[in-house]
Amino acid sequence: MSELLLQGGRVIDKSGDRLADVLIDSKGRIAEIGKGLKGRETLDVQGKIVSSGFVDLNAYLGGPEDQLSETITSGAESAVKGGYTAVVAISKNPVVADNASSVKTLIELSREASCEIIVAGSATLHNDAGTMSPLGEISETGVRLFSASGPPLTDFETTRRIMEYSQKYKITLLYSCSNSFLSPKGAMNEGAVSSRLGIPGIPTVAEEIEVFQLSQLALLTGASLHLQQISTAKSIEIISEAKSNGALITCEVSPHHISLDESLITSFDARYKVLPPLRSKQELTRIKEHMTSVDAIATGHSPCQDHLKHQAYTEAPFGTIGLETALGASIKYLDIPLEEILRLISWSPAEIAGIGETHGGDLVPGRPANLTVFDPEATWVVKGNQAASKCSVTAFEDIELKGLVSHTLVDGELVVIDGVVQNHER
Amino acid sequence: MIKNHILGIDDLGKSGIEDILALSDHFYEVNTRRIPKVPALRGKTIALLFYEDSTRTRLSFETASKRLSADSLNFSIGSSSVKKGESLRDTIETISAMGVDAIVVRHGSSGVPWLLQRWTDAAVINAGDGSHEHPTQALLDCYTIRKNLGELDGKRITIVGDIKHSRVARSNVKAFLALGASVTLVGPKTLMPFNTEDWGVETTDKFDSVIGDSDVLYMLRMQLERQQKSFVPSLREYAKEYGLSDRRAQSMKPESLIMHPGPMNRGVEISSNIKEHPKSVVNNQVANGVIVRMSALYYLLGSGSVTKLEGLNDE
Repeated sequence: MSELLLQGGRVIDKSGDRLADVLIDSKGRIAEIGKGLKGRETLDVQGKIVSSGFVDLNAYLGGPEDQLSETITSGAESAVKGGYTAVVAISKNPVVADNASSVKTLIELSREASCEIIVAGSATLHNDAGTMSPLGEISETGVRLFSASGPPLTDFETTRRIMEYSQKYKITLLYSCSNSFLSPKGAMNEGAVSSRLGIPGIPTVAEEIEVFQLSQLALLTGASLHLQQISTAKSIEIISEAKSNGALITCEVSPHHISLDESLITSFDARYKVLPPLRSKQELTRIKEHMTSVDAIATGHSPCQDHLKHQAYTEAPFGTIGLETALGASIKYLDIPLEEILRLISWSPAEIAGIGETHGGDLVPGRPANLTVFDPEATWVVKGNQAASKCSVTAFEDIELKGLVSHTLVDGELVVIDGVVQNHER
Repeated sequence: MIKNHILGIDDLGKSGIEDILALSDHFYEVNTRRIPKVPALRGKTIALLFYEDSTRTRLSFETASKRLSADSLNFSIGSSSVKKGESLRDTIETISAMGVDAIVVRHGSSGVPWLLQRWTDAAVINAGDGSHEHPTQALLDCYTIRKNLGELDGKRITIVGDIKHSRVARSNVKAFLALGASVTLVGPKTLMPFNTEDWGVETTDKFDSVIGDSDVLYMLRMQLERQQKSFVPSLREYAKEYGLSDRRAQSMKPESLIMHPGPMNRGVEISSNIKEHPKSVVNNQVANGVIVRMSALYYLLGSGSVTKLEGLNDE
């Protein structure tokens, strides 16, 4: 790797917004930020934003459990194309992450990927969702995020024990708040549209009840929680109140929950079937008004084999891909300053993932050059068949977004050049 | 006339409904002939694609096809094709490739006919999708009411039972309103859709309060498994609160109808001998089903216009 100069860009980090060159040394570290710098190789980034790389807290990358949906390689390529330099990989099947040796294998496999993959463990055992996995042994591998949605919501005792036991290891428990206890067959938001379409609904209170229960248990136990894919304003208010009472809770919202609403489902196209479901137009507006209380935008990237989405709506699986559209959707649909978008998509999730030393935050000499270069004004129309993900079914199909990544650097290496993912050797 | 599909009542609109009802008067006459068969759709191929069991609707469409001299192909597909790795889209593209003119589809999931029409050049007829729509049922019900009571305009129609899970109710509400009737939905709150604010109907959980004002009591089938899922405490209690008993039938208006889409649970939503009640037009509905489905097929595939039909002369 030779010295590289990002010349003429607008650098935005926690310490401010300025026109500056960024010099990256041959070890892939930031050497200097300032005006009129010289480097052996130069990349003209005039008119573009240079920021810390994006960090996704919630992506399903298929991998060993499901190679046909996504591989770690294709998932990471999708990530870097979307400007991500680190991704938290969540397993859907706890068998791959409920013991130390499996987690080690996942970490090993992830080393080849074109961005950093943060493996999340499972806090419960695959073959017994009511039993805690060996959190201590698994955390010795370096894992500090654990999916904890295993036990049914009614199993409060196990949930409480996991929260108590987890604290010794300084880990954060991840909860998806989409329990189906109020809507076993639910496939879309409950309301006027679901009533008209005859599709079983999922009420917003189902999520809010779970968020409330978890936040109360967090207060009781002192555990550190991160709540995934929050989709109602009331949920955010409940979390904010628990935070103000001292709970260690953070939460994320997905790009599709700030941009798309349930009316799309009148087409019956399963590309719009996500969990939690797309909510009403009114809820979407309220969520956007609550973004200052949200800690992260996380994609919930959930690829599947394309043909599974070419089924009847209620029979198709939940989920959409999201790594490549997150920036564009955030800039287009959130009427907030770029700094605030970068807080949600990079700085804050880097802290939650425990990688604040190498990702997000301040761009200062000595840090690894995990950087994203993007044009915040560029508009583009989403075409799923151009995705780097193995899955080409996206809820944003044919929608015009604003904001496009041109270059992504992982540890100083250009893994995306002019929007094209590079062949990667690490 | 160039009409592509019959998906839902809203797509047909008032004029589409009127056209099909007008055609039905012609096919009514055809059905009174000694040999009730005409060459109107000779050479046309109609695929009956039933992902969900439905003896009645399938037989009704099959009879309608045969009386129009069309060739009908029966595909009874369990949802197992999903497990075999074939998507709905694959199946539809395969059937389309065989060169069919129309696909009549019944599916347990809402919206399937809308997906189909994106994947095929054939005309699509919705024979029931999930809890969403069942437009030919609504058309035959409108035809039956018109034949027995005259125009629907100004009539009061009461639909009773499991509205929440009923595609018949959803299509009928739209069709009845389009033709000028007013509609009241009756049922326990557990079996009502979550939100009917934009439906343009009245709702009540007190059946007895509306019987005397109703021109039509439309009784829906009660799915027996609803009891297990706690929608109602017992079928006995349901029958007591919402069943059409002899006593309730006696308080109906003189010129009024009892209807049911079938198959009925005698002793649950209607008492055991109501089908034979003088106000009952249940058998009428079945007979009109064939007529209206002939009209629907002709509406999409026939040549000529509503006023000048071709192919209605005997062979």
